[in-house]
Amino acid sequence: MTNELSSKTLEKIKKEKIEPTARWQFLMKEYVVWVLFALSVIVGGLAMAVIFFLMKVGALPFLKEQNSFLDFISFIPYFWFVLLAIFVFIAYLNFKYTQKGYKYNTYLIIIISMIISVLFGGVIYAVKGGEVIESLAYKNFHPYRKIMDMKGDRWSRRFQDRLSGIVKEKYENGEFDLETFEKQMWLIKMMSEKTHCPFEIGSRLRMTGKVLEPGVFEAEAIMPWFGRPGERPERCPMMK
Amino acid sequence: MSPSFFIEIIFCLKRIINNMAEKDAKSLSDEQIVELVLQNEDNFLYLMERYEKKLFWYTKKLSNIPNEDIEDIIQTVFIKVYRNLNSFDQSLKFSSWIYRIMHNEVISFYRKNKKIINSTVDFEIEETVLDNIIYDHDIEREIDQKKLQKNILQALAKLDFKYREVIILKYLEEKSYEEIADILKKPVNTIGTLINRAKKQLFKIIDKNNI
Repeated sequence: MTNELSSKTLEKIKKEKIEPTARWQFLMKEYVVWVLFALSVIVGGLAMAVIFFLMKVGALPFLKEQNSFLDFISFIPYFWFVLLAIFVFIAYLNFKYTQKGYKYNTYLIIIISMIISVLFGGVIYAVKGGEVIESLAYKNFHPYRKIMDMKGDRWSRRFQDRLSGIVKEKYENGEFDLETFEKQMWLIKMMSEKTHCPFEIGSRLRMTGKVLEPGVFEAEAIMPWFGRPGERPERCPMMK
Repeated sequence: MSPSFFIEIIFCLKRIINNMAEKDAKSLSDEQIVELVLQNEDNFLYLMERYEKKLFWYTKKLSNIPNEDIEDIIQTVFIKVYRNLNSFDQSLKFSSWIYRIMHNEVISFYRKNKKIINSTVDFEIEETVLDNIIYDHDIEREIDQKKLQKNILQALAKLDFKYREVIILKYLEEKSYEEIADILKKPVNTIGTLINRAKKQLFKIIDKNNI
């Protein structure tokens, strides 16, 4: 074998006027991959912030109550955990596509992406971002809304003295209309002024009490959808 | 004196420097030649001549691709290298980079032609290389050296592609673990594991086939 091929290739390069691609194009590609990595970690962090929020006020409080383990299981924010896993994986893929990404162990990259997401999520949660993101997702992302409504529905059905849904109308006498997550309308009467938390039209609430007649419910305690009375005084102070 | 005179002098000096560099190209490192190629495409010939035979024999040992196709692949590799010269990472060895591109092209050749990548190959290796493989294995003293060499040669041809490749890079191309990692784009630890598994499979094939 001679070096004929090399000469032929050089001729071809000259004949077809092949040029080296400009350096800025490669740099741009590398920056895009890094930006996508950063975005994935940030979105993972936002998911983590919601997980912190939902675990703290949505799921963990049930562990303190008797016979509420099923409620705890049901309120674990699986949706956000899946979202976190997806974005950690996307971050991993992006990192692998960086120029030196292949040098690092898969598990190491995943663990580091997770740690960054957890730290970033912690900061977002600390500035109350978790709750804001959850509310935005509930209002604007239909599949998520459906999942949360199903959870609410399940919570209400577990015991007869429970009801949950969204406030549709408020009346001067303190009564209000509630649309349950399975789209049934109820008129809610207060058993006592002391046991309700402030809410507005559109608030997601859950309550315990008793059915007075079909479509009329007397509320003993009204809680925001996330958290229990007294646990989140900024959202639901106990009336004393 | 007009400014154009100075510009002409600068260009002349640049040309002289280029010519000197071309003369010395053979004594330069690959990485230094890459810099020269970016100034003058003719310098690319030095790089191609350095790697033409190496890449040919590497692919020949690695695969059962016919010679004419190997030459086509090498030409594609050279053109890809030329096009992507500005993306060459100077912290890598140029040889690792060009072997990586060759590796990728061999894989895509198999994909395009729907050939079975793990099919056995037919090749010959120098005895010293075989000694190196044997030396790394515990049973070195237990069996007759010559017989083992012959056995390894046959078994190597039957190895899975991924194992055959690391063995070839390590023992035939004499690449370090870091270089193999850069060629295959895998962590160094993974390369160590792959080489160990490759050796195990190699000696398993010898035992199984009683060769």
